[in-house]
Amino acid sequence: MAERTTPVAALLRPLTQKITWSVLAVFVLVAAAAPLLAPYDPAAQDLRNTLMPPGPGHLLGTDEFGRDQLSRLFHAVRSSLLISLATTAAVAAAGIPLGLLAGYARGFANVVIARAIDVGLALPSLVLALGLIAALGAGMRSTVIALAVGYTPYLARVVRGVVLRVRQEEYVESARVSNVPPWRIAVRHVVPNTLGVTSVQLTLIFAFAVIGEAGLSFVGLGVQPPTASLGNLLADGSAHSLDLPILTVAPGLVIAVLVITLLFAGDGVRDALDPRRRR
Amino acid sequence: MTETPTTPMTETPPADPLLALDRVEIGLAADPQVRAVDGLDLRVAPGEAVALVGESGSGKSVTAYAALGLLAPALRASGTLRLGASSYDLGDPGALRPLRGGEISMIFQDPGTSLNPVMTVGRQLEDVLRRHGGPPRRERWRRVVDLLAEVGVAAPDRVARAYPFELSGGMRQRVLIAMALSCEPRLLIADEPTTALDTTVQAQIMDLLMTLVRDRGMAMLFISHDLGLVAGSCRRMYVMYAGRVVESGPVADVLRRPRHPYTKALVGCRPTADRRLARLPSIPGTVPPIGSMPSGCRFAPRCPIAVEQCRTADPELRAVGGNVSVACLRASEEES
Amino acid sequence: MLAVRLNRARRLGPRVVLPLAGSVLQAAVVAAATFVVFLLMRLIPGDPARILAGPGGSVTPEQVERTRRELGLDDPIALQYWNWITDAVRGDFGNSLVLNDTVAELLADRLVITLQLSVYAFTLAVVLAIPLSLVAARRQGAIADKLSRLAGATGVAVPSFWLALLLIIVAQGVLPTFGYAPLSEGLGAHLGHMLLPALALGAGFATLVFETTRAGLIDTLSSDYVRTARAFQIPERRIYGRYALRNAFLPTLTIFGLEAGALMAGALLVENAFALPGMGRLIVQGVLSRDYPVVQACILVIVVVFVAVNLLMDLLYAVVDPRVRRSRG
Repeated sequence: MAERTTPVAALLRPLTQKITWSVLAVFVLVAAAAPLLAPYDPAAQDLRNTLMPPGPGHLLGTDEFGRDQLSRLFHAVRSSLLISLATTAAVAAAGIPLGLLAGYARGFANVVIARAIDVGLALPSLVLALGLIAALGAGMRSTVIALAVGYTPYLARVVRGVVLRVRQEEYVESARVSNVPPWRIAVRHVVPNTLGVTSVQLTLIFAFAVIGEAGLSFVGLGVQPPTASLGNLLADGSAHSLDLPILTVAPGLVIAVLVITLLFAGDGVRDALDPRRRR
Repeated sequence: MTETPTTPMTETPPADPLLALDRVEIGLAADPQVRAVDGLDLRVAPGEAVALVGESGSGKSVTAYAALGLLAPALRASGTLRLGASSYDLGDPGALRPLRGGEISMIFQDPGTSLNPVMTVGRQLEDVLRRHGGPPRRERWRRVVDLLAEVGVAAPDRVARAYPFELSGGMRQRVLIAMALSCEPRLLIADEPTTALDTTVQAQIMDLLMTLVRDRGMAMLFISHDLGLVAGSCRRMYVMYAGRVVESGPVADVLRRPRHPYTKALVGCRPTADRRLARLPSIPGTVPPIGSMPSGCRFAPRCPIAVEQCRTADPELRAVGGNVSVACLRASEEES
Repeated sequence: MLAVRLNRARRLGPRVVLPLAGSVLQAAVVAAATFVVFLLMRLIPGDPARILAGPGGSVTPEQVERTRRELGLDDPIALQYWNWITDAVRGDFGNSLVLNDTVAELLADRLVITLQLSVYAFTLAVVLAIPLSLVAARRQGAIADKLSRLAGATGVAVPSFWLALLLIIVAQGVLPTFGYAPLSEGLGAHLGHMLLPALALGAGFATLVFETTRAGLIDTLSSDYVRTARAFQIPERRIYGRYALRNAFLPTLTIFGLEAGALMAGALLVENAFALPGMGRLIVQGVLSRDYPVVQACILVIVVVFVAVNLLMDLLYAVVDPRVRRSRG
């Protein structure tokens, strides 16, 4: 029972995790192959066939410009995943070094970074994002930057917490006492310890980026039309939610399933990395 | 093996006990075959102090919880509890509820976590008093202060108004003892009441408990792994190993001449004044985890004198004279 | 950032930060946060003077120069910030660059609606979630845990603005799905218009409160002090109220504070779906038209509310938890 298992095997053991990662794989596949899978050009308008209900030609119907909703949905998954991935990467690139510094630096630098993180946390992420978009102008790149800036303080704070905890551990203390250089302690002991928490947080941040993009695009401040994104599809559909609900229901459902899957993936990563939960 | 009974009557298993636990079995609710306690019988006479001794994991604390119907939801008990003339089914925790506090009070191992952190201790004592027919509302606080004074709290007024985190461990245990006394129980179960305390405080709390038991004629079931405390406080004892009683009898006899190899090892572990500097002996191995009990005698894997038969035959508890009972195939052989 | 914050709140445990020291620190943090916002607004491309001069209007460099001087845009940035923040404290947020009104005038009514929506959503969430968590805490075990986790995840995963659209589809013709009715039109009409928006906004928050409180209750119900209370036959109702819920409520209070900002931000989006004339549309219009006085005022107000709620939670925390209250002396 206590045999050594690879992390991947441990991760995939529960049935929920098998389902979770299968669903994620489908999403990734759709995103990667959207141009191949989509039956129509997502931007092609057909003004004679606007607001068509789902049928054989258009499985999810058409929008107010006669664009095929299924094709738009595939491309929306593609751009939403891309935005979320870019956001998550940016958060990781900024948040991990910041957190390490904040946990490692002593004295003035520590105070400055810690307070900077507090300032970031005092501004609700979406509100900070709104301010940034005001400065940068709406668009895909601004969306990524705005969301990344909004979420970075959370990751930095978590990483800092781990560093502060690990520093107190006996093996780090003993390494310090025996004159192991600080950078070496950081690389050997501190960084590996932050990986677990960091990967869980990044999974969650990915999920929140999906929602963040949708929210910003929903009010017209995110991805600009005619590019399809999950938020844009919702915004377009909302004008016709009473006469053609599918235009609102479908993209929202995709968001919900994607985010739930990501949250469960986060749970799975956490459980797999926690030796006490691994059985 | 022919020892004349020189011990007084109170050291025999009482014929007319206050508390009798019969055929107690405690297992996982999900899998009753996995047992933490397996066929335990125990008697406590009115006013008698009885010890239940064993390593952690031997099943002594869960036995106490089962007696009050306080087992964790994952555990289920069976067997009967008799208190005076009434009989209760241990499998029905709800039926045991009326006994709690009133007939049987319990004090716990960790006074640090056993009190509600967001209520003053006085209010918690009031709660208990109100439940157990204490004085009317206006006199209740007075009674709380009196109770605290009775358990040796120097400034009972101030302590009653304090929150648990403002009190020392010893003080908190006094509060819990006051709580137990407030119900005027016939039996007090003390579950390792001093384990979490400093040695000096430990002695004070034991003194307090012994005084209260003596002055009030209250019976006590004292659960401990510390034979020193047991020797100084109880008349009779039960030694538990892996969910079974392996030896029982008068404390003086059992400690002077332990017959079960496990009891012997325990006694050998006890640091005494003359041996304090000598190397402490230890029992090799650990208590088998519940769910993977060895067949035959459960102590056999750790036993220095085990023979082949020990690994197949399950020894019964049998009288070996002098009111001592032992569950060991080799006990009498070795004595003779 | 719901779950991230949730994890954080669980780890924090009882706060030992003293309310007073905390409020000084928070004031400093707010000041810094507003300064960040102020700087951000200076990054907005396009000369405010030119925007003010009117769209497409041809202005001479001299006119731009004069407007810049009038707006104080030539002053050092620190002085500009000082002037802005001291005016803001007195309720003067300057004039909108686009709309023909003062920012304070634009904000007043809209802020009330956004706050109403947030408070109703909060109340609805707490009223639904706390009793449910009490019921759910009795059911423990693998399946109950999974279901509760699924409910929590769904609450995060269903965005409030999408739920708003779904509610509109489902409830059209039954309940008002469009616009706002002030209290002056009667409490019934007012609450009727607010019910669906509050439900859309509050649902996600409710699942979060539910998950936190249930987890807290399960912790406290298996605690030593509940065991003690049971050993003395304290009635179960009192055990749930005074012993378990009161202790379990501490992490929930932390969640209230941490989520206040997200709740208000969500309100901005939900307003949009229901065409409620709150701050949501104002801020979106402000961002799109680069009306920086409006945007920075909106953000300032949200930050101040966020910090005020957190301060309130710190005080409540001290009321509930004597360890915080008494360690001050």
